Amino acid sequence: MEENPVQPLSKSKRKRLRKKLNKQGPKEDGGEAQADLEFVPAVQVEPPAEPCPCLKPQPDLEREEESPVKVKEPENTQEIPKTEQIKMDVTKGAEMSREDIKAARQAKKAAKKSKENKKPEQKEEKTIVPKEKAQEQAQPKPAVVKEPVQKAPVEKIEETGSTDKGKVQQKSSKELKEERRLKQEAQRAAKAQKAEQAKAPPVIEAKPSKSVKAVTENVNKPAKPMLTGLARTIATMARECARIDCNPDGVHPAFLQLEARMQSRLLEGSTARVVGLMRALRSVINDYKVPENVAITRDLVEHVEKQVAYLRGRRLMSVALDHAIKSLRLNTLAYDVSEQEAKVTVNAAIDAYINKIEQDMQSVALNLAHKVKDGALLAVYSYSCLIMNALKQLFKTGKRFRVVVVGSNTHNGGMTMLSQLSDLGVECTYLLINQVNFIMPRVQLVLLGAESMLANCSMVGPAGSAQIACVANSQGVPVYACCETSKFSYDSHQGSFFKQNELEPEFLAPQLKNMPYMSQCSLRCDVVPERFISAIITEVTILPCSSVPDVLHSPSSDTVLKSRTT
Amino acid sequence: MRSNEYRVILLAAGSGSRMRDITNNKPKCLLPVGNMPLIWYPLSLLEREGFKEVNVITLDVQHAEVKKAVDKLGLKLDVKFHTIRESDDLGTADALKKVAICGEWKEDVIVMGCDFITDQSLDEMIKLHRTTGAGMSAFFFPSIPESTSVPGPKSKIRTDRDLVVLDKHNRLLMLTSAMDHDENMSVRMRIIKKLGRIDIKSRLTDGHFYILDNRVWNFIISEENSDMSLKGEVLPFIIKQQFSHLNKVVHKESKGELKRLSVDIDDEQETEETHKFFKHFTVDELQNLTDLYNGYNNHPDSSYGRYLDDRLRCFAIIAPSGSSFKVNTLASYCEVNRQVLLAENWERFAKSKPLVRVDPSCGSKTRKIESSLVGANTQIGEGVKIEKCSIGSSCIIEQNVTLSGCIIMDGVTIKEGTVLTDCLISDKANIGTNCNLKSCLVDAKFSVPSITESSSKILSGVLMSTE
Repeated sequence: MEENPVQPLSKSKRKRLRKKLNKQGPKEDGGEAQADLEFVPAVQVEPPAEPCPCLKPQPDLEREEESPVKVKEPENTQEIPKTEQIKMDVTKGAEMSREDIKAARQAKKAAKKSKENKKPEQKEEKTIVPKEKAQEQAQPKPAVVKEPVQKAPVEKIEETGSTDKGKVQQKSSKELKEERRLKQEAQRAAKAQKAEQAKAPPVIEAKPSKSVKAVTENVNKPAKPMLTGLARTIATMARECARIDCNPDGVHPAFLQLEARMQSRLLEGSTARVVGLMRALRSVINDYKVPENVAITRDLVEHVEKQVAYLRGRRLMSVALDHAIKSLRLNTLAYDVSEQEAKVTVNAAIDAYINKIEQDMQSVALNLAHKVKDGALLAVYSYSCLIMNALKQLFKTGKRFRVVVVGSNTHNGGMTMLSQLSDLGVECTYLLINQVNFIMPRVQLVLLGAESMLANCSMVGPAGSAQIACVANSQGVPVYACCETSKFSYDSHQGSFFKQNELEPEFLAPQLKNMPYMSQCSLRCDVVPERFISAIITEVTILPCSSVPDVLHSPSSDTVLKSRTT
Repeated sequence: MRSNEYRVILLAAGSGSRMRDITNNKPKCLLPVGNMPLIWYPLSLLEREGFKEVNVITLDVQHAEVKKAVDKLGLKLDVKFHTIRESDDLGTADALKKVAICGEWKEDVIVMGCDFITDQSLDEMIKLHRTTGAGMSAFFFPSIPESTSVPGPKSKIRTDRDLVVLDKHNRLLMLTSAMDHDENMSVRMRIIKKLGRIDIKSRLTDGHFYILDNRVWNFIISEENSDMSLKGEVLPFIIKQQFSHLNKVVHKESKGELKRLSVDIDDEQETEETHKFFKHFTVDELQNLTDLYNGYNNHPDSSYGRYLDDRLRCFAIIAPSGSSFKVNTLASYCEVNRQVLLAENWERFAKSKPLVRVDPSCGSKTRKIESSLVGANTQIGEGVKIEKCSIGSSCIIEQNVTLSGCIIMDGVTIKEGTVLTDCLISDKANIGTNCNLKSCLVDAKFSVPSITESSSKILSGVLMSTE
């Protein structure tokens, strides 16, 4: 089962490689990796005279440090006519990217052909293909037998796609073992899927319209459209979501309103949601009355938990919100505290948390200041109040920069960002995410606002972040994630992405509901893999991505954080 | 389940001044629609949606009658009656103050008229109110066509249309009656400047269904509110306050700036009132902060923030055509009666209650009854043809009567051989033999002599209301 996708992949790869090698024959050293990088500052800058070291395989952090240097360098050597060089670079870049896309497409096709019963992460990993390829090209001997490193099961799956490519012919015993194991895994997954299927049929099955039936009869297709991969998982999620009994009985109106606003996406961004939650909590606390003969501590915790459970049932609790609730430490209230005292204490805790949010935002702004050079061109995606605030502070301190605001059709955050920035007087450009490839070569820094950072060092951001990061990464532009440490999460990739991701309400295309073979899977968040992110800007300092676990486990970190081991 | 969130006030003290001819002897809220009293529709809607308690305001003189009728409906709602004296001639806002005396409410308040029939789900309306964070949400639906046929003389009925000014997000910007304007209607420049584009709609009917934020409610029942009528004065005032300079969200940093804002000259006389109004809007620091950090913006093209940085916002909920009725004119009364006769419409408006076409107590003689409703204990003679009629209870319809498109209330006697087309017969009227009436309105307890031929007239003992 596993070999099927492998064969066509490696074929295409070899073919492409041969092509590349032929083309590059007459050229001097450097390879694609260098060309990639030269492509970055193509607008004002001509490529450096001396060949650049092959940068790709190096760790992300170092590379990120390198590129600003490169930007500066050519400013000294301005006499050389630029235009031709630039043209060449651009065309080269375009060609390459086209090839990349082609390769990615081929890979996708191949993967589709084979019957998929892998886990849904697969789809995500596909976006990463170009980079892996680049790595292989940088050391152009794909036949080297590399022992697959033992990693966490999540990583394992992504590994299989790439490692198998080069070494189909020479199968060592180890590899055979590996393959057998994979097969077993796949079978196990298939079994699990079947069991799941038996338990509950996919959503679409549930309501096939009459016209649909007629069509299927005519065409003689299987009556039950099968969902596979990601779409399937999402269908399951939606079903589960619908099954959860969100009983609004006894839920405070403030929470009902909060839920309604979050659900209909009128409250966007985790910080805004945290403050909204705090506001709702405040009205809950203020309206709270202790029932007689009940210990306030216990009842209050239960009361609040009931409200929170309502949000959780709607899949609206994010890491930041969880952290906020925990930070109030309701369970540490003294046993014999009076109602009035309890209210005062909790209100003070709410105020303190709000203050902390504001302070954190300021610190992030200070940290970001180190990374933004005067006259830089930044790219931001969607709205992030953290980034907005930081840019505001920067602008107020007299730093001048230009911003490319990237928006998308489904999130109007980009527009908000744009209007607020242009109100400040910052020179802005607005474009949609599908055009981001054009602007990326000119951008010096990409800033992404994170919903949370996961323990496996990936970033959760508004849907589309991964795409931006991917494009930036392929063109050597550093990507900074802005995230307070209160949004760091113990969850690893898998768990959090699928447990906590909100399903987009189906307003995108309601008329598509009747299509039998269509399943709409629009998620609110996506995950940016570690390798796309150069660094995280937190309120503490600027960190490499890999130190998320260190922060989580560090003795100095918040005890509240520590307590969230689930 | 909603009782912790909303309080409901049902206004049932209306006299039905726009349909005097049939409300002389009967409270408006008890007029039969599909053989159910009018008030049953809003009450059953509330019951369906999980409300536990409702406050009904009635006139003291009608109280006993209304209470009896409501008790008979067998609803699970806890109906609390509040009476106001007819002689006081109170406005709606005053009546609300009467209710408010009973206790302080922390919840938002829904105020609705007893003459409101809708198939829309309250849930959706409430959700809209919640998501927009509106101070007041009002319910509108497309008016019934003016060409609706009405029994009685064909006079040019003056319809008092509402002029509803909306922006593209259905924000309610102005609400006035067309009667208040002669030829021109002035819209403040500030509104247009802010929004760029506004829609003025004249074909919408106000459902008199309002969801009021607690702060707005507190203003309405407070001493400062001196206006009498909710629809005529209070709501337009509240809607106007949206554009007050006091309505701005005050962020921490810009507090100083606010004081320096100059007050428009034309505003100056209102300032006192405005200040009184915004006294009820205490600054909600956390709400402001939430708004500040929020990535959502529904006016991305303007330099204002979401909802134009306003604290008080009024929104219109607009229902599709034919989904709702406001039974306050003869025309709408007839129209809704006609609509309810269709089985699918009945299901929409009455939901849980099954449609009983002909009450089993009516006997089973040879007769022809098509898409009509017949109430209990009505006697129907041989050879009677009934088509598209709703007939109340305890009526006597003798042999060979032909009825089509009529609304016949309780206890009416129709003698042999009479033909009635599109008529409205009030309680206990008596119609002689071989009459032929077309589009007539017969007053309560009035006896129409035999062999009367008439069309488009009001047949009444009192010489009135023809003009």
